[in-house]
Amino acid sequence: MEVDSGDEAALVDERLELYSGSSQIARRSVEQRGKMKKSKLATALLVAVAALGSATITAVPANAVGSGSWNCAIYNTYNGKSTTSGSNFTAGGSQCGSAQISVGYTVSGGSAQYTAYRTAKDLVTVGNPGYPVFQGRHKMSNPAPAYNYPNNT
Amino acid sequence: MKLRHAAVVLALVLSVTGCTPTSSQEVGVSASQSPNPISTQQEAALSSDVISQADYQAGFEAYRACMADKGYELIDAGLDGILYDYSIPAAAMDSGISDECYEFNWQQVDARWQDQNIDDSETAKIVSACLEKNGVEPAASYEENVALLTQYGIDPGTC
Repeated sequence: MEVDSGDEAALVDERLELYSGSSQIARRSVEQRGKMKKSKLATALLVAVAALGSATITAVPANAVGSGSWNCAIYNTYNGKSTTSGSNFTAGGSQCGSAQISVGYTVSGGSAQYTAYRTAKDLVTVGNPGYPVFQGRHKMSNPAPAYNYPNNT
Repeated sequence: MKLRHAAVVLALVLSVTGCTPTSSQEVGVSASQSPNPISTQQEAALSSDVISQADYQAGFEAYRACMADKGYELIDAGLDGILYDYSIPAAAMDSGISDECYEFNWQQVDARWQDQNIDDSETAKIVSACLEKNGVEPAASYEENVALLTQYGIDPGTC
């Protein structure tokens, strides 16, 4: 089971689909110009905009856990995913530096803790620490000048 | 409302709501690649092509000492094979103190050490097992196996 019930990944995808869907709505509207009444067009656009707004608000909770992709500081993107009971990963490290991951969990009847950061060039994964994971921290390391990866310039 | 105007309004809304396929998502903690200062000890270790075990361990001790200075003790810290294993109190992580101590004293040395030993890592084992689970014969190295994951379109999230 994904942390945040996995809805976040679905919502991110859903958001892109909605964007695509809106483009299709606009395209179809062009083709049907003259046939569709202006009021219908405005209604269709309002519905699309409302759907987009709603999806955006729920798709990007601040510092939530689940899955996502981020822009590298230099260029390109990396992504990651955290789950309550499965494995967790950060990928795309060679695009940015090196991929890192640490996951947060709460020991039974005890305190919240994070695992040590694990690092790899392209893809780093960590298994479940033995307790349900409540957060994943997906990062890129700060590459040393002498250790820049080939496509990191 | 003319269609052209409607399209402009829609584009503006998309822009304001961040609804472009390439927009960044604030999930978890995002990248930080600003050239933060590092300790002279870490800098010296990085000047070598290869990180020694002594450099790796010295960096860890510096990180641990920094955490202790700030009032946090690493939990169950110790060497597990070639890597240090430990847990970080959530308060230290959430406050940013752990990352501050880590980046200044140890992060880049730790990253290079882990990369030097990647074929013996938990990541390498998980990736290899994931390939087998998907009916793909794993190769000998982590790097080859990551390429196989891509080649066969296996989502690492399913590993």
